[in-house]
This record gives sequence, structure tokens and C-alpha cells, in this order.
Amino acid sequence: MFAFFGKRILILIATLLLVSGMIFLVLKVIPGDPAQIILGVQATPENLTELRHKLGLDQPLTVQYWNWLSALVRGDFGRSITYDVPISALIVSRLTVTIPLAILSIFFAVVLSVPLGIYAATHRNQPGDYGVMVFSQIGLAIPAFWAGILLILFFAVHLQWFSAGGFKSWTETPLGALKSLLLPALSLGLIRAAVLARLTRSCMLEALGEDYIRTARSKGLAETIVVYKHALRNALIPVVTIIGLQMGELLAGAIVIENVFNLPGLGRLVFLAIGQRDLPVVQGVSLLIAFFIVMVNFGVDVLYGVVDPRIRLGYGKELRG
Amino acid sequence: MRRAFRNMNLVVGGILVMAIVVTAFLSVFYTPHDPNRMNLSKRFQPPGPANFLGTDQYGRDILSRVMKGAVNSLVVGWVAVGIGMGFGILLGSLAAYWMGWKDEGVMRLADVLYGFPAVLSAILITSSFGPGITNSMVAIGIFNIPIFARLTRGASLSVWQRDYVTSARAVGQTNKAIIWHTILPNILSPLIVQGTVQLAIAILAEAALSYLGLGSQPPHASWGRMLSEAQTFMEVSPWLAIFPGLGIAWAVLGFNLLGDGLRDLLDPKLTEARR
Repeated sequence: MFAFFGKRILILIATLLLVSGMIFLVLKVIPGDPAQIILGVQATPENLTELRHKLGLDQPLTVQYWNWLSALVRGDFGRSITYDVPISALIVSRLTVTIPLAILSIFFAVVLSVPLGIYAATHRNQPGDYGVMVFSQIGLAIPAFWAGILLILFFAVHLQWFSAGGFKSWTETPLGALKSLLLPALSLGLIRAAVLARLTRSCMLEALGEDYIRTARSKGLAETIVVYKHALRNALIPVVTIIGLQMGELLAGAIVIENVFNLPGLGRLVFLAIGQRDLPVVQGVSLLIAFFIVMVNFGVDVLYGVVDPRIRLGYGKELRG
Repeated sequence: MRRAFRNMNLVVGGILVMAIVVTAFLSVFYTPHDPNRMNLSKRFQPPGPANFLGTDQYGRDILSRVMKGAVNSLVVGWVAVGIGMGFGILLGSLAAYWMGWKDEGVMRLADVLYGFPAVLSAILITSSFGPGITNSMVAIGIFNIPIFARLTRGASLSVWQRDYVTSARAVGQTNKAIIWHTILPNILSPLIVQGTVQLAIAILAEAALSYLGLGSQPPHASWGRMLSEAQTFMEVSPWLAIFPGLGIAWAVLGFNLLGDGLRDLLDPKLTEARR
């Protein structure tokens, strides 16, 4: 047990170091001198040298990486060059848009996909099942940003129920803020729903074929209880796992969707920061997203190890010979 | 052969893909109008006989641009998946052959790359090295490498255990020859299936990158960029936002269905297990 956790934690640390190193290196290649960007074209060479020294840019790469990493451990992400505020504050304020957006889109995805998946599984090879599968294939083929544009076209331009973009802050009008997140969340959620409906269907089919379902039926239980209490509960385990693992993709999807709807979230922040050569912000946000994904994967790995001793004890490795 | 025609996914996917490929080839020699020629007197024309799908804000013909966009998407998709397959198969085969710590190292690196969202990484890469079609192909390609490396390693491991590999060894074949002539031909089907599915994903990624302005640059037509330009003029001419999106959905649906169909055809065991 301890060996399993020890190995996982070592891999976790190595992964985090590797990811942070990669993000640090990739962004060092970005053309443009941060000191020049802060001081502008009028800067004298002396001022530039002084600022480079102050920012630590004149030190070797390894020292810069170490300084950045040790500051991060203390929770210090540095200061934004464009906005001149601590990056942690910037990230926290943008998370008030991105986290509700992510939660809302998962909500839409689950509310749409789970009933569709159950329906398809219980009506296998009937027109309804084919309908769900067609929905799922089309959903997989549509990019989320185009879904967003189509939703704007219909609900904002044609029906004029929503504004075409922008965000009203939570403190001003909580309902207005929620309303400005509805269309973006729906466009992300619809695409996720396509994947999840297919997955729910196949997990339900698998669960419905198990022996305990036959036992439940032979006990004379009502079909609804068999489907919802016995099969669904077991079928949902992989579905919930996939929802968790998709959080990373959702955050990445938010980068594009926040640009479609002009939402001041984490994705828009990092995208604008790349254009403004605001290196510390790009580094901080990418690392945060990567950290989040690595932690989710680690959590799933460890939970599986706890739930299923075969994984913990390394069975299945005999295949490698 | 008869089984292939009874396979709906394969037939429909094949037709959709064929239509896109033919359109792309055709557009190299013929488009109804010059896709990049501006004509300010014909701005925002709705779909009609002169311009079948209408014109954009510069009076350029949408049909011609959607046709050219197909070339862009297919080329980026094929090159990106080619990069991923080339390096992925190489690394995966070596990892399966090496085993031990070198295998572990390669696979952990693959896990890291695999876990990182491709769109974010592609944005980081294209913005560091500059936007453009080449960099977006490389960026999307890099994130295909771990997928093929994992697949190749997993599939090769079981092939290495087979008796015919042992007999190839017994007759004195070198490891390189075994990998090339025995292992790879035996794991080709899952690689082809995965390659088709990855093409669909690459086309989606390219569309997202060019929507953000990081893919192919103007005046070249790309579906993602056409959509981002269309968004500004949605109230005047909504059709601008429809046709490039239909192009993306068509291509992705085609490759997804073709991938599913090929899996059913090449690997019937897997399909039965899935049902």
C-alpha cells in the first residue's frame, strides 16, 4: 500500500517538475523583451539593464527557473506586466467567471446526456436509440465555438433573448451574470453531452447485461427500480470518472468559448496575455491549468488503487514478460 | 467485401470523406471564382445564382473559399497526424522493445503530454513560435505523438509474445527486421483506425486555432478564420457563419464515421466487446 502511494507521489512530483519546466522553456522562446515592453520604446539602455536586473532576466535560465518555482511554492505568481497587479489576484478574479462556466456546462452536459443515454440503452435498436446515436455523432463533429456562434445567431441576433457576448459582474446583478453564462455554458455542454450520452448508453447496456440485474428481475422488482436503482448506479461510475477527467478539456475549451462570447475569464486572460507578451501571466495560468489536470489524474489513479486492489498490487504486468 | 457494404458507418463515412477529398482536389484546379479576389461592389451578397453561397465583407465568393478551406483542413490534418504517427510509432515500438526504465521514461513523458489539453499547448506553441500553418501543424502533431506511442507500445507488447516472433528470432532475424516486418504489420489495423479518428480531432483543433487567429493567415481561406470573421457581420449576413461550420462538421463527421466503420471491419472482436 505504502509502496503504491510512494511511487504515485514520486511520479506526481516528477510530472509537475516536467510540466513546469516545459511551460517555462516554451515561453522563454516567445520573441520580445519583457523589459522593453514595460518601459516602452523611449527607454534608455541603462533603464533597460536596470529593469532586466530587477526582474532577474540577466540571470542564467536555471536560476530564473529555480526563483520562479520557489516563489510559486510560496503562492507568489509574480506581477502582471500589463495590469501591474499580483497575478494571483488576477487569477482569482477571473476564476469567478471560468469556474461557474465550467460547472454550468457540466450541469447542462449531465442533464442532457444521462437521460438520453438511459433512454437509448433501454430502447436498444429502436428509432429512439438511433436518434440518440445520430445526436451524439453530430455533437462530436461540431466544434464548440461554432455551436456558440449558432446559439448567438439564434438566441441573440434572431430572438434577441440574450446579448451576443460580454459579462455582467456577480456583485452588480447575480441573475444578469448567470444569464451571460447560459449560452457559453450551453455550447460547451452540448458537445460534452454528445460524448457522455454515448458513454452512458454503452455503460448502461453493459450493466443491464449483468447477472445481478437478472437476479433483481427474477425477484419480481419493477423495471423502473431495476433500471434506475440497480443498473444506473453501477453504470454511472465510469461516467463520473470521465466527467472528472474531462475537466481539463473543459478548461481548455473555455479558452476558445470565452473568446467567442467575450467573457473575462481565465481563458480570455491567457489569450490576451499571449498577445500582450505578458509572460508571467501566461506562465501562471498555464501552470495552474496543468497543475489542476495532473492533480485530477493523480486523484483518479489513487482512488482506483484504493477501490481496486488489483491495480495497487500491479497485476496485469505479467503481460510484459 | 459484402461485409464492408453492409457496414453503414463505413459507407456513410466513406462517402462524406470522399466528397471532401474530391472537393479539395477540385479546388486546386477549379473554383467558381477566385477565392481571394475582392469585389467591394458585391459585398454581403446573399446566396444566389451568381454566388451560390453568397459573398463576404470583401465581396469574395464563399463557395470558392469553403472549397479552398477544405484543402487547408485536410493538409493540416494529414501532416499533423503524420507527425504524430511517425514519431509515436517509433517511440512506442522502441519502448516495447526496450522495456525496463527506458520504457518507463518514454511512457511517463507520453502521459504528461497526453494529460495536457492539446488546445492550450497548441496555443502556447503557436503563440511562441508565431502563428501560421506550419507551426499549427507541428503543434497539433506533437500532441498526437503520445497517442500513437501508447497505442503502438500496448499493441506491440502482446505481439512480441507470439510464437511467430520467437521463430523469426530463431531463424536469426535482427530486432530491427522483426519490428519492421513482423511487429508493425500485425498492429497496423488499430493504428489505421486511430489515425482516422485523430484526423477528425486534428481538423477540429486546426479550426479552433485558426478561429483564434493562430492558424493559417489571411488572405488564405480556412474554415476557422472564416467563422471568426463572420461573427462580426452576423447581423447583416448570417449565412457567413453557417457554411464554413458545415464544412468542419462534414469533414469531422466523415472521418469519425469512417474510423468507426474501419474498426468494425478490421477488428470485429473489439466491436462485439463494445456492444
